[in-house]
Amino acid sequence: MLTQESVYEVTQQDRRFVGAHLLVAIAALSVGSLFGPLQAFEWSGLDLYGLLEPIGLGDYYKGLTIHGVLNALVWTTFFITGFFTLVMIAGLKRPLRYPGLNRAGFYTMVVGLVMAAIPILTGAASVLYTFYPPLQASWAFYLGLTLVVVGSWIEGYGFYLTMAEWRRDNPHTRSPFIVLAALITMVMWQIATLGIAVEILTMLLPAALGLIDGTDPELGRTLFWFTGHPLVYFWLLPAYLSWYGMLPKQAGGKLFSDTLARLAFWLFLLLSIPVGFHHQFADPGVPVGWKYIHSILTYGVAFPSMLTLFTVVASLEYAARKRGGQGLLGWIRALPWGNPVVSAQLLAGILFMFGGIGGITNASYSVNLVIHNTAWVPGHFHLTVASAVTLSFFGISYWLIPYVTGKPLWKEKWATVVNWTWFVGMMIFSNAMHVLGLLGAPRRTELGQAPYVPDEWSGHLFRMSVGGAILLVGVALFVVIAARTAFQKERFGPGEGVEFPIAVSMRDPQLTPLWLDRFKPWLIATVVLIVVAYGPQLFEQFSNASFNSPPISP
Amino acid sequence: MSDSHVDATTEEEFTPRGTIAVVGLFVASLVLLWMSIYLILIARGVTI
Repeated sequence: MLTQESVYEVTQQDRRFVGAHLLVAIAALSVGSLFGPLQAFEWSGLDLYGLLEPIGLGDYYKGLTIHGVLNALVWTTFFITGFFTLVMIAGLKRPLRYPGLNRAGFYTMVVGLVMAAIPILTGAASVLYTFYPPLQASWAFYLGLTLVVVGSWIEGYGFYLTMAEWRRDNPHTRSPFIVLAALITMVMWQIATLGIAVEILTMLLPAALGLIDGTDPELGRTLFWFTGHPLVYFWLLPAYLSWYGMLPKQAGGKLFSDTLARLAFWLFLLLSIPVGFHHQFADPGVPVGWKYIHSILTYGVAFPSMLTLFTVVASLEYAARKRGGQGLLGWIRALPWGNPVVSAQLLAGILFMFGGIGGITNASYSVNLVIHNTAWVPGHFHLTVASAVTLSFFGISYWLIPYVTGKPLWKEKWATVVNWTWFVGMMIFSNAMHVLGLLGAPRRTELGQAPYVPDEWSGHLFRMSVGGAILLVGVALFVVIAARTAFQKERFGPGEGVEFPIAVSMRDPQLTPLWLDRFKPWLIATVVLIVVAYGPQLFEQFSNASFNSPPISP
Repeated sequence: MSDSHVDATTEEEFTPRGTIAVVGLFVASLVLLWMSIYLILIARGVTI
């Protein structure tokens, strides 16, 4: 049984490697986040893009692309691969099996990021982070994104080989939960990104290089959403890993159930991919029967989500009662809200409850047809990727940056201020966006220039910009804390430092059934379900593909 | 260490009553908010 008592000293070289991931991630977040409030201001009539015209960033759609790509793709992917690197090393208590392989993966991601950034910044890739065809960007954008994804695959291979070595040495021991959770996430990511890989390599890149005359938008959207929905789980599962496997210890308790935690992660692997058509409810090229099947499977994902709600809250309740918490709900006050590592994740969880409600609601066909392509959708995913994920990553950063740098967190109380600022800003911002969506405000639109904005939207647009401004303050403060922590001169003294947080399960993990610790049955079931849920439609769409939509380069 | 050698008494006694209350509140909120969306749509009248 893995306990926090058994210590493994992570080498300085490995800490620096993890730190390099965090550096790129937080740099991307700091640039990408500048453009979010600009969009909110523009919607409410305050167009500040003109101020960026002298440096060539005065275009709304270029700004929207930068915001989406840097925040949703780069911040997350680099943070996750860096975080998982440490999870593998500290969780298995051994170095990476082939560290050179993981370094190759990281540098591949960096090269890809630079390659994609150049066309974005020069206006040759203002195609937003969904890059729907027939919108066409520079070939360098697609190749750059491909390299980012391939680099993350390579890092994943390094994790698998490290795990394989551990398994050879420990054939009868249950794998540590946090390691299993990281590996399931990477496996899910590698299966899911096959869709986007096929889209880019067979259609978008050849079209950008002039090798084919056009694209098939319907097929492109189907392949994108094969990846696009599980992409959300690639962001979320690392936060869940922390909620299940670290937060209970940080709150002073234990993981309520190792068995339920593993079951939830396996079910996310099984169910998070074959649900993409719920993003295409308004697409005429997808038969309604397949939309119905994916809708049912989407509600299936709610099951492991509810398991997560129950297990994580039970772990927190256990911690709170150990701290003297009383009453049916009064125990919540006994949680260590003054610890920014904990409060960030608690507030992220609360925001995510609203995200879950909105997600389940908009997965219903009738509601989806009303809010499809409206402000509701970014309102929803700001409660997932920008709340559950980003705020949790803030909380993880508060111990992770000190852990890898050997320096104490700078201004711990300010970190708590960041958490509450983000929470309040996001409540205002996302609520306004949901309401605007119900009123019909379109997404992906330079609304400040639109002549059709009715008066009844004005108050909500203003609330949105207020929320965006508060969020900007929050993220700016986070970046300052992260930078000052990493680059300060003060270091931990002898005997000081940050312990790698691994929550002990209330029940011995060795009692967890073996089938919850083996990949084979779950991989087979996942592939079978994907083939059943996607196979016939992919066959039909490929059979009838017409690459004749001429490219549009915005 | 094989499964049969593990002492099952390591499990601790804890009934998460507060958690059940939180989950109940979540489900109630989900139902109320979901229904409210439908009521908003119905209040707009029939689309022909």
